[in-house]
Amino acid sequence: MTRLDRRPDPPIRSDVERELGFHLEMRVRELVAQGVPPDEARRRAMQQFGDYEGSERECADIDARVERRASRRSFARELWQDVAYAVRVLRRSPGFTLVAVLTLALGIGANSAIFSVVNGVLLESLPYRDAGHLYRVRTVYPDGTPYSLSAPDFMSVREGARVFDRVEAYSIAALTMTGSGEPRELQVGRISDGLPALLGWQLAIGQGFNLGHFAPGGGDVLILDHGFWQRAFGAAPDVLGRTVTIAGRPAVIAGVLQPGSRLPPALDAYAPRDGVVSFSP
Amino acid sequence: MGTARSANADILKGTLDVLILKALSGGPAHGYTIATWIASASGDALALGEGTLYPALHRLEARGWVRSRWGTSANNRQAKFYTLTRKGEAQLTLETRRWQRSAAALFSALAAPAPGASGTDR
Repeated sequence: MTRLDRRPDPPIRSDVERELGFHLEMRVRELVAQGVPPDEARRRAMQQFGDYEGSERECADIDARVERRASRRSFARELWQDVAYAVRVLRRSPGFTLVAVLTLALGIGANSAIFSVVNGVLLESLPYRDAGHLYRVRTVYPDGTPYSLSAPDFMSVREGARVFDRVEAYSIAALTMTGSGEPRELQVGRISDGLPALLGWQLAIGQGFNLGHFAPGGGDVLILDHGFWQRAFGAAPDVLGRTVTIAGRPAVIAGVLQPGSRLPPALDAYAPRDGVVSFSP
Repeated sequence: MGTARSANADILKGTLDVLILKALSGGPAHGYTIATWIASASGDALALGEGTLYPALHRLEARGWVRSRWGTSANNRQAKFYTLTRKGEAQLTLETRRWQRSAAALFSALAAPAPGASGTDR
């Protein structure tokens, strides 16, 4: 194995060098033809020429400027030609154009649709203060299936947990509401006493729950989701204090939540866990 | 002497462009031919050296007054030949007229009697 000799190639003589070199060569020839010895002829040719390096540099600068200008112009021209060509080709085959445009449209549409879902479900956090510190506690059965906690389990987690600041609960039931126009089915969240504060809920109107409501038999009260209030009651402010019948038992409307105040699944109304709705369905 | 010489050179530098255009009005030529013709036609235009011809040629080419192309010289060497463009021809006509006008103005001024020559000095 031999090592290749990497002597650099002699530099390619530039156009300017060739041009000026030709001039000097012609001058030397002429002087030699007149009988001047070659060395002397070369010296005199250089002297007549003057500042060789200055001339060479100046020529190269001018040429470089011209070249830059030309390449800018030709870039713009080529770009325009490409666009014009693309338009001509697309116009000549409308079928292909239609398919290409549809493919792009569907592709972009599908992408942005998927992104919207991924953004909402995976990337955006829950709409609560300190959402990154919220955890869901579940019971995992020996076969690996997660289940919601039973009421006694919740109580013992709440008593015994040291890794959480607070432990709150909700459960969801579909219940029938009567006594206000047509009977309708409500998704009712039954919540523990600290949940509104934990999630930073705000009331639009009314007083909401007080601690007494959470005591056993503490009161048959209900607060409404903002959207449900608008849908079912036409956003009437006089719903406060009105009595409706939930699953056959009367409940007094004690407040309406602000639009953003809600559980992750959108529900219609909330009741204290120990209030209007008995615990076990 | 130095300043007189360089002032002269400045004037002649302005004339160099028009002399190049004139040299090419007879047909394509390479730099050496142009330099030789200018030296014989107007002794001083290349007073700063024949080398000053080349930047002037490249500048004229950048302005679009001349065009260049590599070709073979009479003694069979590669040389860069310059040709006058239409724009260059128009420029030569314009410059020629301008020089004629200012030269005529200068000549008539030089031919006129000086202010004091009529004998009525103060």
